[in-house]
Amino acid sequence: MTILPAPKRIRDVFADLLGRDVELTNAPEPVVPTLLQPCAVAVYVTDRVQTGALVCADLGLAARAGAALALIPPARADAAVEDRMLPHNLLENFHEVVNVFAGVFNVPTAPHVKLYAVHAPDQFPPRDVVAMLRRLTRRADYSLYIDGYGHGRLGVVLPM
Amino acid sequence: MIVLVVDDSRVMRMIVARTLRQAGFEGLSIREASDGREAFDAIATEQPDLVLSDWNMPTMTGIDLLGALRRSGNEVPFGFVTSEGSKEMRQRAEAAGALFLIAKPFNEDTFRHVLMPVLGAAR
Repeated sequence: MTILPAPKRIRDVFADLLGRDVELTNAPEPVVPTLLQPCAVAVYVTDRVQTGALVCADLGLAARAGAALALIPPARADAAVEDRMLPHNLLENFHEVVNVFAGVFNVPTAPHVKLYAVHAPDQFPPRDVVAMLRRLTRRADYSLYIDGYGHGRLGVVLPM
Repeated sequence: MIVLVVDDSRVMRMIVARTLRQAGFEGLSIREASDGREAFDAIATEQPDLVLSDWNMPTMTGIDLLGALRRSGNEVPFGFVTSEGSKEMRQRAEAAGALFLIAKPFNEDTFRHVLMPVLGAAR
């Protein structure tokens, strides 16, 4: 069974991939996509193509991590948050962030998972994915601060 | 020296090239391919000194690329740069003839340490 990654492991993946300091704290509320809070959602599947994990990033994290990955000026990420729209290049970069993030789930005692799909913030995810994202158990939610870029929020949800 | 970077992610190809420079490998000519099929053709024409390849890619994966190269008699030095860093993947890579597997995320220290024996002359 896939296990929730340790917070330090999550922080380290972002910090190592983006090449800058990242602070991680517990989020006060679950990170769930709504009309008022669009999110990018990554779906990971096992080798049997069953859902292995979901990652839900609010627009702030998707835009800022996507920008930081390619050293795109932070103002472009801020503009994306203000416009409530993730430009193609930031979405493409965020796709790579969550692709590398698969590594946090692939520990020796857990089934192998890989990235299957990324739903952009302007594409509401499939109903079964949304239902799983709204669960309150087998999940962890964090606020991240990416040095030089700013805040975003991340939810990690596992199947029962 | 010519290094072919194979990855379906444009930004990751850019990051690999940047990390090579940050690791001190300045005198390289970097070429790019976006999947295994494109890389197979590029290797025939460009004759790179090293291939740095992702594992999961559309059209032809990195491990399939390596297999196709070796079956065709091409022994170009080949290493993986991939998010797949499990023991099983490392064993498969080694059995197929890869020199190394660098797991993402990586940094310039990792590149320097792993690539020095292959690219030392390019520093």
